[in-house]
Amino acid sequence: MPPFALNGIFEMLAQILQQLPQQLLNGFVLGSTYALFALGFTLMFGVLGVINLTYGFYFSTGAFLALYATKTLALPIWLALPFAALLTGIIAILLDAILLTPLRRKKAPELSSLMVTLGATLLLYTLMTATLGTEIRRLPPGIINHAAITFGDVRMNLSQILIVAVTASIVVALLAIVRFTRFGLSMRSLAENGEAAELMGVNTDAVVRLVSFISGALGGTAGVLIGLNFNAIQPYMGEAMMLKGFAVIIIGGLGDIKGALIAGLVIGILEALTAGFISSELKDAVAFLLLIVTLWYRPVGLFGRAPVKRA
Amino acid sequence: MSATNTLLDIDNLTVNFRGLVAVDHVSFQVEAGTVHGLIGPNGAGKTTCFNLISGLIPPTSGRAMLDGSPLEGPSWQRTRAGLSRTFQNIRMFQEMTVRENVMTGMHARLHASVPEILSRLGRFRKEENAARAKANELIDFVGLSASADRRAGDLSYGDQRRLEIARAVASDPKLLMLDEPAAGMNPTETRDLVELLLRLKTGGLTLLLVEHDMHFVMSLCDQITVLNFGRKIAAGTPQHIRENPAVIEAYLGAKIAERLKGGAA
Amino acid sequence: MSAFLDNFMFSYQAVIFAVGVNGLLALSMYAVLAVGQLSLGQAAFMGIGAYVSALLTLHLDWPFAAVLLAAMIVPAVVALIIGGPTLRLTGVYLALATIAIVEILRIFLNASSFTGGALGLSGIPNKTTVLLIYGLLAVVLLGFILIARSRLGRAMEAMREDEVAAGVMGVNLPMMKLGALVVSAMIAGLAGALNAHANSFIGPNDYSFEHAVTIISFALLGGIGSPIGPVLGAVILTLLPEFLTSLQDYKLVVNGFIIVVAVLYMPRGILTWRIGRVG
Repeated sequence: MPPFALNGIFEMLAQILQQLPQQLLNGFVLGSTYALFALGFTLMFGVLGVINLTYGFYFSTGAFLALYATKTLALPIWLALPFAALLTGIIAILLDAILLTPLRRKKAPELSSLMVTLGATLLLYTLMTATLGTEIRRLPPGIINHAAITFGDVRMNLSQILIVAVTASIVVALLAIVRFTRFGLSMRSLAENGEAAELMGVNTDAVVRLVSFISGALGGTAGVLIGLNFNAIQPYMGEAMMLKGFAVIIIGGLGDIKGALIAGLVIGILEALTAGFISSELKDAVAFLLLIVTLWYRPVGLFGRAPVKRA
Repeated sequence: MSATNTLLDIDNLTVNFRGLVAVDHVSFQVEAGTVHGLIGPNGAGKTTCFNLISGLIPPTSGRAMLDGSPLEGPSWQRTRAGLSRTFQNIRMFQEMTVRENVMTGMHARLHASVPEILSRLGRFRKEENAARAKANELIDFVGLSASADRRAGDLSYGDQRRLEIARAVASDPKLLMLDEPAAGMNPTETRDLVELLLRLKTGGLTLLLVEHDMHFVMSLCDQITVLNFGRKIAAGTPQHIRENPAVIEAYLGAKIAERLKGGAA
Repeated sequence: MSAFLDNFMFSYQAVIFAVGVNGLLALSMYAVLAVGQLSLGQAAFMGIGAYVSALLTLHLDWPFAAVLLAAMIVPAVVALIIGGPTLRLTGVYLALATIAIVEILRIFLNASSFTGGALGLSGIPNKTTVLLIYGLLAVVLLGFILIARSRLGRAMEAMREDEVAAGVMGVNLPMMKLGALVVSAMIAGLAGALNAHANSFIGPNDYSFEHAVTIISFALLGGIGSPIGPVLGAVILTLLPEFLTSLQDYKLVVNGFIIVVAVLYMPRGILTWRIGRVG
């Protein structure tokens, strides 16, 4: 091989190695948001047994609520975030009450929840676009310090740190709740067998409401954080996120918290690597390709459990 | 003639779910032309056995043979091989009429191809007419002629049970498995059911049934297999089973069994 | 008189075409819903059919009949490939797998320059006629009706109500599901090709998740007791925004609303009659 070509390859490799840590970090941060988003989603499916397609809407709602909080109410980010999360959680409870509780009472097949939330999603997004417009908004400049810490070639700014910190603490909190609290036990029993749980005295309605709230709040939080990180907020942001969210929760295993975390991180990192080194247009395909592979070879995902068939 | 011809041969059938052994090396044989009962206390694994035999769940080990050939594959393959069953909770096609339900039961025996269906030529008309006629016969046989065009979901519980049997027989099975056919029936209905099943037996059908109603079982069955905690604990004629201490213990508990033994002795 | 007709056709041609195409799409949706499956991939199959047909016409100038045939076969092959493994999955997993396919298709179409990237393909000659669309629609509809009134129709209804019991009846579940998916793919592909040669331009975002949802709303509105239901649903939902011009912008809202109401209050569709069966 001619010597200059060898040089070219070495240069390329050196470049890759230099960029790798930053891409990995970006991927890790991106993956954290995916994980955060997926957590609420997977809880909803795991515990409530519904594929709730309005979940993406919570993502957009959270971002817009934060926008309102910071612009109109002039709240600082550390207040705007819980504000957005809380309100989104409440909206989630409302939507569940209107759309899903009637189906649950009728013991409708799970496809019904898919379809009704499908329809509601169309409705909600169109209304949102009609009232808020489709142009991309930004959070007020200076809402978060643009300071960053740097080690070597890697730079991590404050919003990225915030994302990782929030995600980590929420994951830990959720795992603790599920494992150690009575509420967590109720959630798990509902996930195993809703009817039996009800017979055992679990207050199904209360658990459902609380899980809806938590899911909505998580989705909204993810929306705020992504809106902050990429500084772009528009109504359909939840849509794209949700389709990826599907991939994350299936690959991780429906209803499994650590599965959502790991799958989210893996997808985020792979996406960042694809965008950085292969093609940024194809990065979105990564999640879906992994989804297809998962459905092919291990439909229950990394940590999911095979449902037991009954006659 | 072929009185000792084994139709169904269950050999060491086992299944465990996440550590719980629901069916534990169960073996028994059902002779052709007989009525065989599978009994045991609640949770003994009877319905699980049925699900294993009919192909709804895969066994962990062991096998089943029907008329000398291994029973393999999903349920629809086993139905085509000559197996048929009813369910503990009646699984009726509610929106279809009674006749349509029975004709659906014949699916395995109808063979008109897609081109024939689309062109309405070839086997299609003949087959459909014959199927309809046979369905009417079966509906007569179980005594539901008056309801042939009614929506299945509108029938009474007892009638739905009969319909389920008619539908199960529609596929011309070699072996009919019935899961608690008398559940929820009053004495009159139960008597009618016994009479219906005996007519089926006279017609040459072999029956394997799960049932809790002891009177029903004892009056109908030629042979009985008893399960408890997934294992076979006894097998034999009704007389034999009635007096078997292991069976008594399984149903009534060890203490009562002891007392009975003491009393009888 | 013929001047009037010409005028009429000119103004309303797009709508007339759209009704026919949507009718075909509704039938493709019916095929999978009729066996109790929820495939959200119709839009992807339509997209594949549209692009295959457009590329064949633009680059190879094939006769239209061959192009239509290809637009049916290629999606059918894709359906066979993805259908096999997804058959093992329960309804929700199939729905998600098909959503993923739609997304992957959209991403690749956007990224690939062979398919025109984000700008799509333009300059597609108008080879579709009203007669062709409605003729094909009638043929497909007739085919479905004939099948519904047969042992296959009973098997399909059984699968819808209780898949486990249907299997015990001897219904070959995998074959029926795969067959339904393949047929649905073929019809959607056909619709896509017809549509591509009616509008001169197709783009990757014409075949997205939203379109899959719209197609479902046709079937939900019409009810799936009979193949005629979804077609009627398509007719109504396509024509409605035309008559209520103020609703144009809110077309998606209407669709979404219909789906919500239908699932919550009218699970059997607004037109609830069952097709009469043989037997």
